[in-house]
Formats: sequence, C-alpha cells, structure tokens
Amino acid sequence: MISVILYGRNDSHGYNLPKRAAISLNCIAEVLSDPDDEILFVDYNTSDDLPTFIEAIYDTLTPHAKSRLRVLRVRPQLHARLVAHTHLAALEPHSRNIAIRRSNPRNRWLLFTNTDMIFLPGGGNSDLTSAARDLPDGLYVVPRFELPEPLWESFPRNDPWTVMRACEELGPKLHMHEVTLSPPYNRFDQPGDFQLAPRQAMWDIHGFDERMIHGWHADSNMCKRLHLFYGNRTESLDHRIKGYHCDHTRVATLAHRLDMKVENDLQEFVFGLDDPVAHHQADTWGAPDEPIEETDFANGPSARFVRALEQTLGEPQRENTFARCGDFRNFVSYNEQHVLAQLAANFTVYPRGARLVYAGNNPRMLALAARCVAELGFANAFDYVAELLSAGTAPVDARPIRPGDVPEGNSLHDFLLTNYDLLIFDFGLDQTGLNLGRIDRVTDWPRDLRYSLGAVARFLVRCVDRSDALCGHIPEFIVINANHHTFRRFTDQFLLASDTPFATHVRKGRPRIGEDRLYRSHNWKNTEDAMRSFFGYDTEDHSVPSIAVGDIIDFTSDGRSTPYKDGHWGAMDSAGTWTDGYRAALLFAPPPSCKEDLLAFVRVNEVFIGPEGDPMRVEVLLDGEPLTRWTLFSRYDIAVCKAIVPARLMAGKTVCRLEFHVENPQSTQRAAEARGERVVGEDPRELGIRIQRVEFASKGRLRYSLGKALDFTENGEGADRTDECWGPPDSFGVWTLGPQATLTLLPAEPVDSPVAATFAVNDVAVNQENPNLDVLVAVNGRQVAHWILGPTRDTGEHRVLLPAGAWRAREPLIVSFHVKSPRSPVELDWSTWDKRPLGLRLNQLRLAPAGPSKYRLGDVIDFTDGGNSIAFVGDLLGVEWALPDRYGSWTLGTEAALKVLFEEPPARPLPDGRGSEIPASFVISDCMVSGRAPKLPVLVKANGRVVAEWTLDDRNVHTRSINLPPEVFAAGPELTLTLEIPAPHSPASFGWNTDDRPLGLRLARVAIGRGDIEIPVFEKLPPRRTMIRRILGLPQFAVHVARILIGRYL
Amino acid sequence: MPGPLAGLRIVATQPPHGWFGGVDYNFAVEMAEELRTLGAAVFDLDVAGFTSRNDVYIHDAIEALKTFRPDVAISLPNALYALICATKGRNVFKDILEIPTLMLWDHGLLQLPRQILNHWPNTPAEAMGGSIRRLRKALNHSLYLHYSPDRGHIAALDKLGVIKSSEVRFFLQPAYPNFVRHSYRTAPPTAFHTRMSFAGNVYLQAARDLPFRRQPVLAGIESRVLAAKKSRLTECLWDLIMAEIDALDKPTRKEFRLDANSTFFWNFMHEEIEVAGNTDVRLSVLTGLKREYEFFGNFVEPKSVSTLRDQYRIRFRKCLDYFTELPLLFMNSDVIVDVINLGYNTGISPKVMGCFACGGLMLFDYKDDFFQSMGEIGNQVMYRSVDHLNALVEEFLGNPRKRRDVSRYIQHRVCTEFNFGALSQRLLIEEPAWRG
Repeated sequence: MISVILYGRNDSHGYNLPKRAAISLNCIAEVLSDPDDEILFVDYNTSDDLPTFIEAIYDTLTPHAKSRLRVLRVRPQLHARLVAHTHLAALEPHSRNIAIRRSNPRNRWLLFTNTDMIFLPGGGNSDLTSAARDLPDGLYVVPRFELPEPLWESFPRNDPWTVMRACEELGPKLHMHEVTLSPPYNRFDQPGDFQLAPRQAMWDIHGFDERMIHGWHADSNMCKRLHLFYGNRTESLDHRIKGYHCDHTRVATLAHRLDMKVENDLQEFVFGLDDPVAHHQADTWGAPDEPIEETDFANGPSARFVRALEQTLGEPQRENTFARCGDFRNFVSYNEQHVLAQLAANFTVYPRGARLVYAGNNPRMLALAARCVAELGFANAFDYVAELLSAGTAPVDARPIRPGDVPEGNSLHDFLLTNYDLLIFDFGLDQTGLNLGRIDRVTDWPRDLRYSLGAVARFLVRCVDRSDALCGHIPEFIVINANHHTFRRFTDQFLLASDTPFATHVRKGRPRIGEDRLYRSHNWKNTEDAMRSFFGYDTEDHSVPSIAVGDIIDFTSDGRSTPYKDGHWGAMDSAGTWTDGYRAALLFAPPPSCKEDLLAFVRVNEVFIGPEGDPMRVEVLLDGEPLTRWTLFSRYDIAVCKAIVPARLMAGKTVCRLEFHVENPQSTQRAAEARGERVVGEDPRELGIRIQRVEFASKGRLRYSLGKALDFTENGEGADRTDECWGPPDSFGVWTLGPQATLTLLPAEPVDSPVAATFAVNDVAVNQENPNLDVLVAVNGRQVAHWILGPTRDTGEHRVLLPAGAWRAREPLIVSFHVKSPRSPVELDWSTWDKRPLGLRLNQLRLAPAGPSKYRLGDVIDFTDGGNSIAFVGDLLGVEWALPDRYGSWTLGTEAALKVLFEEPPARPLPDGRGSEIPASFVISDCMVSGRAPKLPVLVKANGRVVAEWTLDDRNVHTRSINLPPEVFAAGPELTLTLEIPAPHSPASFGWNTDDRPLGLRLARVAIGRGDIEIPVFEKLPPRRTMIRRILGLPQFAVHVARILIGRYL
Repeated sequence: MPGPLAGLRIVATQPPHGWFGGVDYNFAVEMAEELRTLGAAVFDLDVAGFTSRNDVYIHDAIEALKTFRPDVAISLPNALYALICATKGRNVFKDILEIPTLMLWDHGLLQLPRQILNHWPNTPAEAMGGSIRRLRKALNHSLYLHYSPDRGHIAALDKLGVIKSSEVRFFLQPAYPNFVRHSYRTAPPTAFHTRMSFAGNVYLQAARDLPFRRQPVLAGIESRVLAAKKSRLTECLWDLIMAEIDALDKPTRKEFRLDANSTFFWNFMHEEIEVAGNTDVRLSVLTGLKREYEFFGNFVEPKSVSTLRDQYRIRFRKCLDYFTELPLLFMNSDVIVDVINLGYNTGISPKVMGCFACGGLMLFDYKDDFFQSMGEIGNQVMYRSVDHLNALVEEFLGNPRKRRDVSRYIQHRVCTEFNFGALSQRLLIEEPAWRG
C-alpha cells in the first residue's frame, strides 16, 4: 500500500538526532499495516568508515520498525558523481528519487516525510494504511504541529504507542494544534513532512527535481508540480491524520543558520513553475543504472561480526594478556588474536563486494583476517601483497597480488589504489616459533624480519605518493601496530589517522595529500633515521654487499650502511651509528679472490662512557673467531680502531660477519639518572660506541720501510699505525690513552741486522706533583726499554733496539707502550673537564738499521747522532745514556754501560793468568765540570773489574786510553764496560740552561783493540741567521711589533 | 607556468637537525621548499656532514655539487651555516666551488662573532686578541653577499671595522613559509585563545649565573645600561653598552679587555644583551602591563617556570611548538605583546612577521627598520614606553574591528611583500647582486 520514504545521514544533524529518529521510525512503523508497506531510508553520503545511520541506532528500534525498514546506502563516491557544488552533505531530491526508483512496485502510495515526524491516525482510521486505502489519486498533505524539545525528549523512544498517546493527549492540553496555512499548492507550511502521492505519479513527473541542490523548497516544488499535475489541487488529509514534528532547532543545522540561508531559487522552482514534469531528467532521475547497496540487517557483515570473530578465533581467551603502551623494546610484536576484533570492526562498514588488501609480513594476522573476512560474508577473497610476505606461507583463503597480476602499464600501487576499498598495512611481526627468548631490544629480532617492515613502510609511502598523483577516489588506509613509538611517528607523517587507544593497535585514516602533506621536519628526520636504523627503510636490496680494498662504509645518515648491518645497531644520525646492545655485526661478502688480509679501519667518534668512567671494551670477531680487542677511553675523541681481517677466515665464504662485541655497554637511563635527570618512562638503550665509518684497506697501509720517519701529527700517516688507545692526531702528535697503547708496523723489507727505533716524544703527562712517568716499551710482547719520563715534558728522542729478528719476518711488528700511571689533564691541572688518561705524546718514529751487533777488534763505536752505538747500548739508551747528538752521547746518572759482543774472542788469558792486555781508547767530547766543580771523577770497569780511574777536568775534546787485562775476558767473548760517575751534575745546577738531567761525560767514540783513536771533525751547524740578515730584518720586525701593539691597544 | 626562479640552480645549507631543537633545520627545509616551489633546482647541503667531520660525505657532496653546477649558494636559515661548510680550512662555497653565496644574517652582530671566534671567555684574563682581524678574514670575501635584517648591526660592524656598511645590504626580516601557510588556514578558533599573550623566552637562571656580575666594574655597566634601557625602550642595548664602555678610562677598558679586538668583549656583549638584557627588559615590560596576560614559551629554561609564577606573578601556560602551536596562538589571541629580542638593534625578529603573516596582532617596542619598511602603519603596533603599550592594548582590545583592520592590512603586506618567497625573488632575480 505505502512506501514511506525518508532520508538522512549518520551525522549529528540538528539536536539529539538519534532519539527523535528512533521515536519517529518506531511510530511510523506502528501506523503501517499492509504486508507490502515499507519504510525506505536512504542513507545518503555517510562517510565510508561509518555504519549507516539506521545501523547506528538499530538497537533502539522496535521489532515492528525493523521489519518494515529497508536501508539504501548511497556512498560518498556516488554522491560525488551525482552532485557537484553543493554546500549540503545530504540532498533531498536525489535521496528521495533513489528510494522512489527502488520502492515496492506493489505499493500504490508513496509518503515523503522525515525522521522527526509522528503520525496519529484519526477520523475512524486505525492507521495510516487504512487512512490512505480509499483515497483517489492526488497529492495529500497534513498540517504539522510542533513538539518542543523537552516534550519529545521525555518520550520513551522504543514505546511508540505511549508516544502517540502522549501526542494525542498533550496536543490539545498544551495548545499545540495551530495549523499554519500556506499558498494553495502547499496548503500548509512545511509540506515536506507529509506528502502522500501515488507512486505512478512520480514516474509521470520524473521524480523530485535533481537540480535543486541548495536545500530549501524541494517540498514546495513537489507540491507545486503535483498541484499542477492533479489539476491545481492539493488535498488535505488532516481529517484522517495528525502530524507532529519533533522540533530540533536548539542548535542550528546547515539549513537553519540565520546568517547563511542558502536556498533554491523560489521563482524558478516554485513561483514561476508551470510544467509539472521534469523533462530534463526523464531518463536519469533516481540514478536508475547505479547499483545501490541495500543494508542486510540479517546477514550483512555487521550482523555477522561477532559470530565471524568467534568462528575465526576458535578457543576463547583463557586469561588476560598484557601489552605495554610504553614498550620501546619489543614494539614490533602484538597479540594478533586480540587485534582481530579491532581490525575487523573496520570491515563491517563496507559493502559485501568490497575489496580489501593486506600489505604486511605477519602471516598469523593475515590468516586470521582472511578467515574473518570470509566469515563476514564478503564476496571477494582477502588479498595480500605477495612481495611483502616473506615470514611464512599465506592461508588458502587469502589471494596473492603480484606485480604480474597488474594490468600492463599500471604499477602495483596504482592498481591497489584504484581497485580496492581498503588497504591494510601491518607494522607487526609474528613471534610464533622463532624462539627469540626475551626481547630486550627490537634488534633482537632477525634482521630479515625487521627489514621486511621497512619494505611495508616504503610500500605505504608509495601508495600515499601515488594517491596524490592519481587525484581520484582514494581507498581508506588501516595501519596495524602504529599506535606508538617509531611506527606512530612514521605513519603520522603520511596519514591523517585518528589517534586510537593503544589497546586497539589499529588506526584508520587517509593519505596526506595536497595541503595536508607535511614537510620533512627534524621530527621526520629523526623518525626516518630510526626507520632506516632498525627496519632498513632506505634500502630495497638487503642482500649482503661485497667489499673490496678501498671501500668505505659510511655509517652516518648520509651513507647507506643498512645492507651491511645486523644485530645490535642502534640509532643512526648524521654523526654515525651507535651500537645498542652487545653484538653489532657488519656483514660483507669478501672479495672474490681473497688472498691477502684486509685491514678494517673503524672510525669511532663517540663512546658512551658510563657514570663510573670505565673505558668501553670491545672484542672484534670474524665469524666467531676473535681478531682483536679494543679499549676506548675518551667519549668525544675520534678513535680509529683497527682490525686485521685474515684472508684465511674469508676464503671460500660468501658472507662474513665482522662482529663488534661490546663487553660493557652502558644504559642511557642509568647514565641520565646518575646525572640527576628525570627519565620519563623507560629508556632501554644500552650504548657502546658510535661508528662513523668503516674502511677496508690493504694491509699494505701498515707497511713501513726502514729509515722513513713516521709523522704522528694530523698531517702525517703515523696515526694509521696506532690502535684505538691513542688520541686523535693534532698538530703536535698523538697521546697515548690508558695503560697500554700500541703501534703496528708491517716490515716492507725484512733485514737481518739489528734495527733501532727512535721515538720523538714531545709531551708527557707530568707536573710538579707527579714529575715522572714510568713507561715500559715492548716489541712483540718483549720488553725493550724502561723509560722514566719527566720532569721535562718535552723529552725529545728515545731510541730502542728492537729484539733480534723482530724485523725479519713478514708479520706485523707490535710496539706497545705500557704506561704505569696514566694521568688525566684534570689531575694534572691542565684542564677543568678533560678526563682522558694520558701518557706520552708521540710525535715521530723512525726505524733504522742499528749497525752490526757484533764487534770486530779495532772498529770504532760511534756515539754521535747517526752512529752505531745503539747496537751496544741497547735498551740503556735513554736510561743510562742520553740520546746521541752530533758530539756524542752523555752519560745519565751515576752509571752508564755498554755491552760489546766480540765477533771473535779477544785473546784469552793463559792458564797462569798472564796474557796480553787489550788496549781501548775513548774520545770524550765534553764533561760536567765548571768553576764550582772543576773535577769529575770517573771509575771505568770492565766486566765488573776496575780498569781505570779518571779525573776529568777539561771540557775540550780529548782522548783517553786504557788497557784491558786478559782476566776481563775469562768469562767469554762479551765485555761490559761501565763508566761510574759518583757525582754527576745537571746543566741547570751549573746555570747553563734549564736541563736538569744528571750528566757525566759525553762520549763521542770508543775503540777496543786500539790504543789510539782519531778525534773526529765534528760538523758545525751554520748560524741560523747571519748577522747581516738579522740587521736587514729589523725593520720588518719593528712593523710586526707595531701591528701587535696597534691591534691590542687601538 | 615556470616559477620566477626557474632555471636557477641553488645550493642551500641544511643545518644539523638536532641543533636548537630542530628549529633551524625546519626553517631551512621550509625555505628550501619555497625556493623549489618558485621553480629553482635546489641542492640541500647537509651541514651535519661538516660538523661531524664526515670526510666521505664531504667528498661526495663536493663532487655532487660540482656535477650539480650551482649558480649561487644561499645560507639557510642564516649565514652561520655557510661558514661551517668548510673542510681543511677551505670554505666549500667561496674556496672550492667559487660561487657567490648569499649570507642571510639573523642577529649577526652577536651571532657571527660568536661563531667565527669560537672563544667565549668568562673573564678578561682568558681573552684572546685578534678578533677584528679574524672577523674580517671570515666575512670579507668578494663571493660573500651579506644581507642583514638590521641597519643598526650594519652600522655597528662598520664602525668596528669588521665589514664596511656598503658591503652589507638590508632586508626586512621576512615571514617564514610556515606562518604564511597558516594565513590560508582556518584555525580551530579556541586553540590557545587568549585576550593577551607573550610568547618568548627569559633566562632567569642563566642571567643570575653570569660570571661578569661578580666583577664590580662589569656589574656596574650592566646595572646602568639595563636601567637606561628600561627607561628609554626605544634605544638599543648595544649602543647603551658601547656608550658605557667609551666612558671608561683607557686603563680600565684595557684591564677588562673591553675592546672589540678581544674575545672577551664579544662574549660580554653577547651575554649581557641576549641573556641579561632580554630577561630584565622583557620582565620589566611584562610586569608593567595593566591587564592580565598569558606567558608562553621559555623552552630554554623550563625549570625557571616556578620562579616566574611565584616571583613575577606570571601566568605561565606552556611551551609551544614553534611550527604547529605558535601560529595558533598568534591567530587566536586578540593581542600579542612582545619585546623584540634585544639582539636586534633597529630590526625585528622573524617572530613578528610570522605573527602578522598568520593574522595575529603583535605590539612590540619601536624598531626603526620596521617603520622604514612598513610606513605609518608601523606606529599603530609599536610602542615607545610601557604606558604607551598599555594604551595600545586598551585600544585594540576595546576595538576589535580596529584590531582586525590593522592586522589584516599588515598581514596582506607581509604575505605579499615581506615573506621569504618575495625576499628570495628580490635577492635572486630582481636585485641579483650575486651575478656580480
């Protein structure tokens, strides 16, 4: 008999919409009695992510109303196609026409009304159906009586008879029955709340005029046209029906705003109208060819929601599960079974024919979602992006989408954006079966799985970018596990997604396109770096790259280190990448023909020293085999650590794992708390070292040719040979840090002869309170010298003789300095902040042949600079003998010895003790005598036997000779000549200069087996500046001084 | 249609994103985006590569730049960052690429010496000399084109012999793109809605801790100049301090190293103006307001908030995000009161133009550069004394229509004439001094 046609939208139109709509629908249903009667509600332009308005209030409707209701859903896309340029979100002509077209053809009448009307049958009619049954064709209207808000708000919405009785009773009591008259074609004001007309008439006049997109007067237009159509008649049905209107103007709607009333042109659509037929829309009114979705309340996804979840999940939850909303450790994991309900809740608003696609790498979530989609009754299978799923196999009820499935010329992203209704991006991983144990940090997850989330992130970004480019309908995006921490910040950059509670683990939104796009702020930069660090966001190809000599891997955010990293790497920024945890590994494929060892230079630019100040200790391993250990002392100094990667360990392998095992990483939270800072939440980071870059070099970089001076300043190559226990080179050299610092040299050309090393030390960690620094020097683990450095800070050159054979092999030579008591600049009062444990500062090193180690009788032992005395003085140089200068070498302290090993034994004594004496001669180039101490006694011993007593009193160069008795050589072919000087003097004590070393005599030459020795011609240095040049330079000097004074005082 | 900068190849500095809470980085990113929007091809040079001494990046970046063949470099968001881009003593722009470089100063008079000298002694005894020579050497180069938003700075540096005023061009500090963008947006009307607000920083703790205060002569200078500034708000603190220094006898000046050649002088001026001056003068003006106001900011010293509340009766609200929240405050407040950062002598800070760009109304102390550029309308929003400020506040709060008219007029001018896009067109196209 009657199709009641209503329209609306799931929004907040007017005041207390759900209540008045429920009252209205329940009451209308009560006045319909024919089996064919129906209530057609057009849900117009409700946002896709919301249910229809009727679904939203369904629980408040009576069974009668539910049985009469049909809901036709017009989605925003159709609205956009049908209508342009309207300020309204819901359009009456289009809505009603769509309902008319799809109304029950068996019904004779159509009633156009709204969801705020209550109808009371009267005049002997029990209901609206019977009131209309005998009416002749025509347009029937009724006056409308206003119910104020407090009245209808007091009505019980799900008890329609009580409501109608209240209207009947209170209408007269409260004097509500005022009939508002209007022009004859309308008859009453507000005619749109009751227009009853034959269904056929609507076909005859082609429905409501769909040009009326500005709101007001669509009802008047319809009245006028039907008035004309029925011979200028508009009938009143007020004797059979009373209409009550639930007033809702407490808040203004778009239609009710006083300052902005937009309306259709009355002249065009009402006053001047003279043709009832809308010829212009004869074939198009009511969108006849558009499939309109009808909500299935019995078996649609919404109705099946709970059962579908039950079916999918199977066993009920036995006990609570727990998730931490501030979890910064294992934030890639979530409980898939818990998340399913939150995810599927978003599916129910889609039509059965909707297409949903999953982009992620959580097979468990995919399986649950796919099953649930099927249980919800969707017609299409749940699809997934095959290239993103690597962690396991997909369920049978999910369908893979591969690039090959995409029509030619289309990208996969475009295909998804244009063919799907919902794109689901999953930022979680399935932990099932992985046996990961306790997850302390996200990098405890296997790298491939972590990096697969980077691929999901890239996929999302490309979809967003393409959304901007495609400019059409964009499907909605759901992100799973992007409610906090890195993934939340990441998705916020690209999606406008609501902030949902953590427990949902699901967010829904749309891509940021056009004006909504965010620029790449520093926050984004931090997020991007984190995504790169932990999830390989920046690199598509994660296969392990090969390396070759000369390759440098840049670990800063300017580089591309992602494919090389595995394990406990932390945040990366413009300075480098931190190790965060215990084992950070560098993966590489070795060079194809790997015959030579490689040298890895690891540049560390920060060390996270903990509150206790302990150095950071790192063990370096290649595929589990220890290579070296590093100890890093200084937080901010750049240290270049080295590890030799043996060819034998790389041979035949496709992938090598160079692992940095940080033995004592430091908790950032503990460090902050130790500084008195408050830490909000948990900071799980345990930092070790920050690596800026790793360079692979040939071991040849360590090669050294005898005679070459190695410069340890910032301009030299010396620092290549230092280990990490040296400070950065500056313009003076490099400091040792900590108790042991080593140098590594690879002999370029092995020699058999003895080799001497000369170290130029230009500063030592000493001061007045701590005047000496005790340093042991070892070569390949064997001690070769014991230096007591200080109190002079610039201690000059120190020479040591390398152990025999040290320079013979092609193996690296390790020189280590063991500093007994390193001191910090703070301890030494050199600085207020520098706590590095300094020892000595090395400026230069030179290795040179030390000459023959065995002595042939008669040869000259030359104690001058460049002479061969080191072979005989050995490790006493620098201890008992000062470093040679061009005049010889001073004795230091009370005793100075030299050891001579004869090539052939000197004449042995006869059995009776007699034998020939062997002469020995000396060239003495200076001695410590002055007016205050004019004589210097010297006792000469040979193999412990006194062989001469000298009293030196002449500073001029002169010779002395002695005879060595044969008994001296009784013990063998070795002679130790000792010069004992009971009272050495320092130049400072004589007022000569500031040198406070206790000197004795300066020996220039010694010859054994000869009674005479030639005094050499000592090289004289030219004066630095001749007198003439000094005079000529005076004006220039004056100008220089003047400049300084001007600069200072003017 | 090609943009006005189409065809130009520009290298722009991008500051380390961790510095200054990311503010400089964000400004630079936005400015570079604006250059791109105007049609230029822009190469972002990551300054962090230089500060972290990343030889690999520096080498690669220089090679890439050589391939990119930039016409000109622009130091974003300010000139400091171009100076940092150096390797082995050679500046990337002037020495390696040998290209003209637009050096946009901020409050350069204090910032540039601080960066270039890199020595901030707390006592005269720790001072080093040679400052003027070093400043000259760093700044004077035919390929550097200097632009200052402060005529007072230009004159002061000329007077000190650092750089000739003819070598520095003036520009009115522009509105940065973010604020201009907000002028096209509808803000939620109640977000940070206030009748009257101040948004900025004071440095109570830092000012208290200034080491100079322990020295009677220096403390005397400070107290005299701050008193003078508070009584004569239109005078700039730099000039007041210089007058005090000039009044000292020569031995005292020498003893306290108060000459521009000394690094102590520059640190003293910086700290006295930026820390002590900004704190004392801002608090003096704010406590002189007759109406209640809200205080936003103080991100530098969050711990001083309780002192502000208890001692100065200031209603501290919160620290605002410069990019997302500050524009809302500007848009939704009836009046913003400000005391321009005392580091500016005659110019204004970008905050002023940002406020106007997004439709706010800011009342600030008189700055001649603003008046010279904006004309008579400038007098509607600049006060010369606290009483004058109170009168202006009453006038605008009592006459919302006038508030709207004035702010809309200035907003229009800022968004069309004094935004970064317009400035870059001026510097790069209309007055292309860099083409030399």
